[in-house]
Amino acid sequence: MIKKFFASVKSAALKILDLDDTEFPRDQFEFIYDTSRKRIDWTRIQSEDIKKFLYHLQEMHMVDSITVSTKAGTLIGSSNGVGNKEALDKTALFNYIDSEIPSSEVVLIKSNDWHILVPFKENVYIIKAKSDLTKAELNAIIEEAEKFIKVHPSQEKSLLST
Amino acid sequence: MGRTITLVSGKGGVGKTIITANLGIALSQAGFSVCLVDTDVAMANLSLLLNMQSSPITLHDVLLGEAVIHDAIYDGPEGTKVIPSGLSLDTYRRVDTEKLTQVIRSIHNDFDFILLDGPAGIGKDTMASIASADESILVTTPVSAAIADVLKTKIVCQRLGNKPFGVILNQVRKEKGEISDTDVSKMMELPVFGVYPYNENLRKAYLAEKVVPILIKDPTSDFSLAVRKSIKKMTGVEIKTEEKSAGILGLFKKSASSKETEALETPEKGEQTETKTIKRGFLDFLKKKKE
Repeated sequence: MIKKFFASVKSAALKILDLDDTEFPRDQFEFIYDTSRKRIDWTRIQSEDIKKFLYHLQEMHMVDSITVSTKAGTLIGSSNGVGNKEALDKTALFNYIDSEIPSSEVVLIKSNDWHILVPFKENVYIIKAKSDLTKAELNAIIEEAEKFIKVHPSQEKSLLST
Repeated sequence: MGRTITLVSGKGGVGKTIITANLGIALSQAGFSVCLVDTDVAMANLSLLLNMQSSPITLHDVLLGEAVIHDAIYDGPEGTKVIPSGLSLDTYRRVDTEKLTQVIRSIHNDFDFILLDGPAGIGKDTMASIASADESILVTTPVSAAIADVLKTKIVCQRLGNKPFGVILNQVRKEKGEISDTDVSKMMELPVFGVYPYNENLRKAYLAEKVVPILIKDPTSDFSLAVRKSIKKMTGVEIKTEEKSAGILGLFKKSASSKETEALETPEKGEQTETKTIKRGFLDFLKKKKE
């Protein structure tokens, strides 16, 4: 009780005598403020073109590339625009691993960067990134891409036919 | 359908666990059904704060697939339900946090509010906690290091499809070097719906044989009042503050805490009930003295 009383007196005295020797960190504040302005433009992700959409998704999730392929190896879309060979090779690789280790949920390959192969329904997602991604991040990428593919089915068909 | 909210900060030691526990208690006192989940599976502390460290079945067991979620739900303070996390490093090494989303979704409709006490940092466990909730509350202190970290956490939340809906500014001492709630709100582009003053009793919360959350131990403290105010901003429901019998020191304390709360947050229309109750308590006390 006495301690509390003296603490209150001390705090009041500090305020009255203006003994607060702290200082507002202006430089740090301005730096953080500027950093907070450089944010992702979430509206850009609403592109109609799958290549642009995947490119924005790639930027948003800070990965190097995103390629979507069917399990048969047909390219659906790629953020770097040159995904045909990648779709074919990586899907074949995934299918091989899946045949050896059934129900594979993620295949991770470290070769300079990380190559992450994730199956989802009839598709395989091929993601390149500097470090391996968590399942939560992979799910977020796949969820966004699947929503896009669902809304733009004609694009998927036309790409499948080429 | 209930709301699942994770409390995250980026930086450690800003008060996530204490705020989760006290917000949960305040929500429960306001009549909501609340479940508190310790999703900091590596460094679980919520169970220590609520004296549940010896719970036989924990979230670890559920994530290991060795128990069902309903077996890990315990009665907490003030009618809350609590899912503690295990304290063992051995079980943590075997835990699969990727199952967390599925586990939390399975109880999504059982409560009005599910509050997840998130881990510090932006690693795998934090991402699992964020991905398991629909919304998030960003907790920070008014110092640049904590704010720089919470900004990154906000971006991670958005990337994972989680909606951050507000900031709680904790450990506010009103010193000149602190970043104000207005500046924090401007930087985060989110409302600051709680400005919680620094309270020495919070630090002491762990320094007791039986730990009692401050909202129960000292319901009229400036911290408890601030928590209740933020509940009103979160839900629109007001909780009335219990009156404490006042001695001379209690009188000082109440008067100081009401002044401090008034100074910290400019009251909005219809938000003055709690402060008024305390002032009335003070006048009642004087009246009784006269009699």
